[in-house]
Amino acid sequence: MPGRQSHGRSLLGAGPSSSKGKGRSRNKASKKKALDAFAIAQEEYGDRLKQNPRNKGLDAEVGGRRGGKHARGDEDDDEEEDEDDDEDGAPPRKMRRGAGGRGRGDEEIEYGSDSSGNEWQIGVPDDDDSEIDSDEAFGESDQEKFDGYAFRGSKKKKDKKQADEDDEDEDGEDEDDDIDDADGASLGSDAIDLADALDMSMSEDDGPEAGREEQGSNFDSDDESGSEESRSGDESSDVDDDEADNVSESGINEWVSQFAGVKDTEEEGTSTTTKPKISLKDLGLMGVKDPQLKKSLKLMNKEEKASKPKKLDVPLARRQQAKIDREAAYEKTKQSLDRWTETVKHNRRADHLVFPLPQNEIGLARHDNTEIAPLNQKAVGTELEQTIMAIIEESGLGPSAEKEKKDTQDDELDGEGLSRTDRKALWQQKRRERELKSREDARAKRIAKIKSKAYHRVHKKQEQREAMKEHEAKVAAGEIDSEEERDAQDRQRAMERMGARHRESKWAKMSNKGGRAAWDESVRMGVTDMARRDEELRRRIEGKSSKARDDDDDDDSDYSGDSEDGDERKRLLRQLNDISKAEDTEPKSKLMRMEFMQKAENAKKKANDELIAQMRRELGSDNDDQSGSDDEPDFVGRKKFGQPSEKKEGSGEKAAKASKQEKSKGDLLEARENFRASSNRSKGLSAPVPQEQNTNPTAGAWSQAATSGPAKKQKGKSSSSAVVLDLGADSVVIAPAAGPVKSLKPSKKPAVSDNDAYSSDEDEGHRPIEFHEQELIERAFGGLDVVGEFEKEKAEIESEDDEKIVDNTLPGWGSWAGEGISNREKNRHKGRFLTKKDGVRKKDRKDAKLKNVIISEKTVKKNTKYMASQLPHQFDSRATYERSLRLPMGPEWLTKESFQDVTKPKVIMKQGIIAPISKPTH
Amino acid sequence: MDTDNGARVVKRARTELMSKQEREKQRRRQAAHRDYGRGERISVKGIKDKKLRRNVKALESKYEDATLKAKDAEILLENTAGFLEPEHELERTWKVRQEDIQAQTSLETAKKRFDLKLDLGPYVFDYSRTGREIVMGGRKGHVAVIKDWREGKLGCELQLGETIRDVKFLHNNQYICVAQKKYCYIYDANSGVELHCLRKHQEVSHLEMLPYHFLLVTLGMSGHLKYQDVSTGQVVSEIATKLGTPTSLAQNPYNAICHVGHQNGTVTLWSPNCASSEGPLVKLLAHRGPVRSISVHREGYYMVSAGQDCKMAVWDIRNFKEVGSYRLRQPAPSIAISDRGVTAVGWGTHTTMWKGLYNKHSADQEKVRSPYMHWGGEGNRVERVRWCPFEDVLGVGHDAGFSSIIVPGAGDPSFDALEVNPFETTKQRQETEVKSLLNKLRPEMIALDPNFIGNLDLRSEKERQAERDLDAKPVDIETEIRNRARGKNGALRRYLRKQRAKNVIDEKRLKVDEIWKERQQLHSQKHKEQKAELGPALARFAKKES
Repeated sequence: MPGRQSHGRSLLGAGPSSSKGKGRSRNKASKKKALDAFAIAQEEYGDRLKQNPRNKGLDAEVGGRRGGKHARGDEDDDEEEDEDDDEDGAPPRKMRRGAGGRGRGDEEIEYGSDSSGNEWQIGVPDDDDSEIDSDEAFGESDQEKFDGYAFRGSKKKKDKKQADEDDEDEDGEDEDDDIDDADGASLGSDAIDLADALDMSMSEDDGPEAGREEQGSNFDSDDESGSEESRSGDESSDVDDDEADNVSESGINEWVSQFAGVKDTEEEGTSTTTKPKISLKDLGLMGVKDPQLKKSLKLMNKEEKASKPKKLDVPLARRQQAKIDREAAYEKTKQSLDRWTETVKHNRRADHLVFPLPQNEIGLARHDNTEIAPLNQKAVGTELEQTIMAIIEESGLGPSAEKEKKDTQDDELDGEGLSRTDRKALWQQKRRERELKSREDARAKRIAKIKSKAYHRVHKKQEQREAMKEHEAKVAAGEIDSEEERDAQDRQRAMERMGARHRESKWAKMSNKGGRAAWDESVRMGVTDMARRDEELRRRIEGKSSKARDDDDDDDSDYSGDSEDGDERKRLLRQLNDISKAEDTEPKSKLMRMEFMQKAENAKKKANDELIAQMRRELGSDNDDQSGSDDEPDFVGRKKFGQPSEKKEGSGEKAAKASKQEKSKGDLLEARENFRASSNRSKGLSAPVPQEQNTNPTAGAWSQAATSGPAKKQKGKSSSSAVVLDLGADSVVIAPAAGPVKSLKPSKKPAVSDNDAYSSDEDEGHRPIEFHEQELIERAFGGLDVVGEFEKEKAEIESEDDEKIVDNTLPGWGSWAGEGISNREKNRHKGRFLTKKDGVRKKDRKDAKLKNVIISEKTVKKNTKYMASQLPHQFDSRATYERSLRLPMGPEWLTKESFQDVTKPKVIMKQGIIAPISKPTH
Repeated sequence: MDTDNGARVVKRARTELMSKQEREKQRRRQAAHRDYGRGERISVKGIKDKKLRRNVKALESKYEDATLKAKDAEILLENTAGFLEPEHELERTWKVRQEDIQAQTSLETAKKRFDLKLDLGPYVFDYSRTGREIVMGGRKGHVAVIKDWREGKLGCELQLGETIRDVKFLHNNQYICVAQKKYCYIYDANSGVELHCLRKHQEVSHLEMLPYHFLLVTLGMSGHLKYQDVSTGQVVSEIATKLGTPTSLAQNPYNAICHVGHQNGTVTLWSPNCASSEGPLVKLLAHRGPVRSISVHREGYYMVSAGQDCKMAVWDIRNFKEVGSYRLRQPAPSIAISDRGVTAVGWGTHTTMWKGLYNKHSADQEKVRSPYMHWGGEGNRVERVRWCPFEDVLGVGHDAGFSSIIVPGAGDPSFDALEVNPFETTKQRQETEVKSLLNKLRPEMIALDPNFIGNLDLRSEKERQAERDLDAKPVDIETEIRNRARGKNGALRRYLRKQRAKNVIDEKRLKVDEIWKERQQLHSQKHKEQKAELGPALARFAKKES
């Protein structure tokens, strides 16, 4: 809706003039007066104007232009009509505008100027708009005509504007021009009036041309309203007239006197108000003639243009807005609910919950803590308190005592002024020592910090560039929907508004009222937060997110010559230098003077130095090929010291091999040793034979101990070592048999028992009598062949449990059966219905590797009653589940403490009132 | 682990520096895990689910805590056990005679060594669980219960006049079971009154009692292993071992599995859940020739068996490997393992006690060279040896009666009064009985791995489906009601009472209503008949409803 927009623009453009309280009212008054002035002027100069043929031509020209414009559409006309109404002082409209003006505050001007074309309103000061308007009304065509002519009050402006317009032309914004012109023309009605009036009043005797010109422009507006919308125009003019009459009635004199005074005041006002904004321009204008300066001026203008806020967006449709608001509200609600998650999680995870929860425990205890005020002499009321107070005083713990103490302390401090400084020095020294101790540590830390910073800095740049490129590419490809983006932005803004602790909020008022910011940390934080948000919001309103701004900044820095990267590098390098320079020249503590500490320190230092060197290299290289290095990954990891790992591995393997060899050698040696030992021992065994021959041949040494006296044993002991001591009678027969036995079992274990009654099977060889007995026994059970039977049984069970393929073919089913069927025919139908029966394969059996053992592979069905049929929920594997069952719960297996711990109920409720859980604070 | 140069190889060399305190802590943790740990901890690394990981972690920490606390609680066990120890290389502990020990110990302890001369044949006997009572049974029919053998109080004495093969206390000291010539009998231990005759247990040669399951296990001459629940009186299971007359029986106190020794040298492991058709859980070939005796350590790690082939075998029954074998001079008819792992073997007229036949903490069992102690050789053929619980006392039943000998360091010096209290009063005993009845374990809970409860059944649903009896007829309400409908609270009335309140009419209800009507009719008919019988004048006295 160009019409509406333009109208808004013009309106707002008019706004600034009326934005600031006094100025506004004065302006208004001046407007009216201007109208009046116009009327007066008409009365005064009307005839003269009509007589002027030149003016006629001008009139026609302007009128033609207007006509052409009107041919474009009627909307504009409507707008104008509205405008007229407004001007006439339709109260609601005015109110609205005023409200808007108030709401936006200072930015009003910018808005207004913003909406009404970019060029001519840049940096227009508040009170100058009247002049500008008049200039505007002056129009392009007029300019041509009044080339050499200049108003007294607006000379500078005009020149500047000319320059601006030139710029505009250069930019080629022709359409805007048109609109501007039109606006200017249409706006002329109110804006010009004032200017006219001013000009008139200021340069009444300047010459007829000025007045003529003004008249002409006024005629324009009159023509408009008169020719096209005669009714409304008439009305408006009527009203105007009325107003003018009123004014004339009440204070023409006043008005006149005002105008008389305005000369000074106006000039003063302009000078004061314009100064801050216009000063630059003024400077620029001074040197307009210089082409270079002009150029720079242009640049400046451009910059200003760029920083100019863009248009305000059209408010969203109600439904859309509602939707966005809902979403934002949902987010908010979610956020506030999310505050509970931690609490809920904690309570859910807690092993035991005791109600009332400790955080909101109510009762005497808490109240007592808060309510009992500290005892002081004044507050002592009851007898008990008095006595207690007395006791406290007596023991020197009372408040008065404290005071005294303080005093004395102060005195002491004062008295020991010297000691205090000494102490300080002592502290300092100690601290220095402490620092020294881990100087290298700290240094390493610092290096690491720098390193990481450098790393991130170097990479961040690259990432950003890439992201930008990507974004541009996306935009180019049309992947990013601008609509969507805008939507997202809207949402964001809504969110911002939702959550913002804005200035008008209850909270803000509250915090302001009590001056809480002075002492309450949270409030202070909130205030700063509010300010920050405010800033951001404003920036958003200007149409740029804070991020975009940052980007801009970066861009700026990017082509500002020396890139930030370089700066960063330099800084880092400087830091590194500092660190490397910071050698400890201070005297070392005793501990540090020790050799091993120094060694360690040196090692650390070396590592640090190397690190620094490496970083320096990196930074240097970065500096060298700044453009190239960004693309390739930097190796900014920790450096590995020592030998490369492969080498190590190899050596490890070698070592392993060597050890293996050694081991095998050792085994061999051991075996040989064993062999020797066994032979020795057997010799030892055979040695005392004759002695033993006399002793009881049937009983073992064991029974000997019981029957025969200790003397005999002593003999045995003396004859050989303790090992040989208890040799039984069996050894009698050993002597001849010893040889072959030895040869038979040379590599047997070296074990020789001292008592054959309890000897192992392995030592059987030494004892022929036992052997004989054994043989007899074996012969006795030999017929049974127990082992063979057992093996057979095992094999049977194995095959039974094994996987099987069962042939379910029924003879006669699908084939002929009975007599007379050939074997071939029978065989043909044999393997038709085969089913596989699952089982346990032989090698998978539990007893596969066990000799003389059969372990049943069948499941015991009755046991399955107590087994879980499926993995309980939450457990992910059988092992985890089954292992988790191993903690017994009964008091028989646990100590009392752990039993109680295990069986403690999850929720424990204490008697009394249980307050609801208190709201999370953050 | 020694190398040839005498240096000791350290398995895990300590490389990093650790403070003494830290090391101490670690040591303590290791010790706790060794003694009270229940296997490796669950590694939480592989668990993806966060919640589960957290839970498992919490569980692990709880478990760790419990283990450490259990270890710390050891401080409460004030009694320590100690073995006889030789002072120098040449001294032998097995040479120490009972007289020497008696001379050195306190009077109270010395009194624990005594002999009972009884002449009714070789004696079998059993200590009660608390170790205070002894029941003795002479082959020729003499049964004697000694109440508190330390004081020598005789409880009751029976002359049964029948062969007695075995005697056993039931779950406490109140009842004894005697395997007599044909049947098993249960007597009251205080008065000697016969309480039960277990006619289903015929020609029983061996008795065992599973105290936590209240199961009396009998092994008959026919080779039938029978489990009888002594709290309910039901026979839980009867299993035919199918290996002829068994020669020995022992229970594994850890998992209540019964080990049966057979004539052919095999040992079979049974639970009441085994079926004779499916065979034993495990079958070991331990000996050449009959297995004369078996005993299992209470921790359930090791079994010692002795056979007719004069061999004593030590088996690790966690993985069923023979870890040691010793030769005896004669076949040993009885073996017993004490709480602290001292193995008593009665062979011929001798009894020898072995220490350190196995060590659960080492992978390879060392061969023991000489026994720890020895007793006997006085011409009394040993029939049975048993350890007295919580005492350093071994009971030996032999031809000439009963002997009680002192074996230092055999018994557990500390007891758990909540579990078995040797000093319990009558009241405590009664309470313990009630409690243990409440905590009674079901016979179905017996398995090789007693911790199987709650584990995952790995059979497929198909397999399980196949095992279910799908052909079984559903219970028919009609027959049920008809069969059990009597009295005021008969099945029908009760059903109708409940159903009428609900007012749900289905097929079942209709059937029941029909029965109800039928009955009503019957009643009214009866009533009429009665009226008619009594005549018009007395008709009013006819019974209206049954």
